[in-house]
Amino acid sequence: MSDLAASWRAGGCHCGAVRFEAALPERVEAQTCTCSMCAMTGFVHVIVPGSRFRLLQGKDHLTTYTFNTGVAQHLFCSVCGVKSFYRPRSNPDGWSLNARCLDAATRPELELSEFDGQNWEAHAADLAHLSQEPT
Amino acid sequence: MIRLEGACHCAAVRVVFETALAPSDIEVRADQCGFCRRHGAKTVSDPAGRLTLQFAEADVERYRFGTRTADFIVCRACGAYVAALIDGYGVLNVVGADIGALAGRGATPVNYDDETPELRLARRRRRWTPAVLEIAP
Repeated sequence: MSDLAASWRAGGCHCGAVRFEAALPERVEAQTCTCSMCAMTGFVHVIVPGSRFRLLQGKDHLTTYTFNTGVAQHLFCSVCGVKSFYRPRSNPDGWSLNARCLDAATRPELELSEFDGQNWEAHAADLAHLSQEPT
Repeated sequence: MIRLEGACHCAAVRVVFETALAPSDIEVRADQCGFCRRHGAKTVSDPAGRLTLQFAEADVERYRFGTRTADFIVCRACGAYVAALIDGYGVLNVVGADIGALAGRGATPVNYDDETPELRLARRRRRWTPAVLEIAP
């Protein structure tokens, strides 16, 4: 990602309790995923390094849900249930934002692909670079 | 009647959707409101069918917004939006309730932003599914 092109773009849940922002360029890679969890939330992943994400408000409103290996920290708003972002098992050093939750006015263009979450182990390494801090 | 069963990810909220419609004849809708879009929801209903919801009241959040004319049932443990309810009727989110036969279907975008609260309730009573609630305290 070009640092010059990135700007802080905000988003959040439906009720407004949880707000975040992320440094994103005009055009970003985004993934839908076929695993049981993502299929049931319609999550559209935009994975960023830790330094490119800030929680603006709502820490006390976040509920954590874990299952299977327990590595992924699925975070959702305790009021409206919306999962705005979470700590993915594929990128435990970064964050995955839900493109559905980015404010429409500043949402980047999405370059969508489908991640084969039904065969997670075989493909997770393909995502690792997305949370690497820029050097 | 066919019987489609589902549940949220953690299975605290369970649903049964009974309908005489063939799955291919069931309209799958994608409401364009901010809540449904964020949840990636796809909804179905059948006025001649039956929607049964099973949960413990303590396990769900009843979220209200906008006209505040329906309860949106959200699982407190896993966050899934499973269904919305008014008195006697409900609409099922086949994505959040993991109804495999319908969740993968393409959905028709719908937008009800211009409705008054009265028209909204009338539409829901006309189009939603008669609901049976099996709620533990």
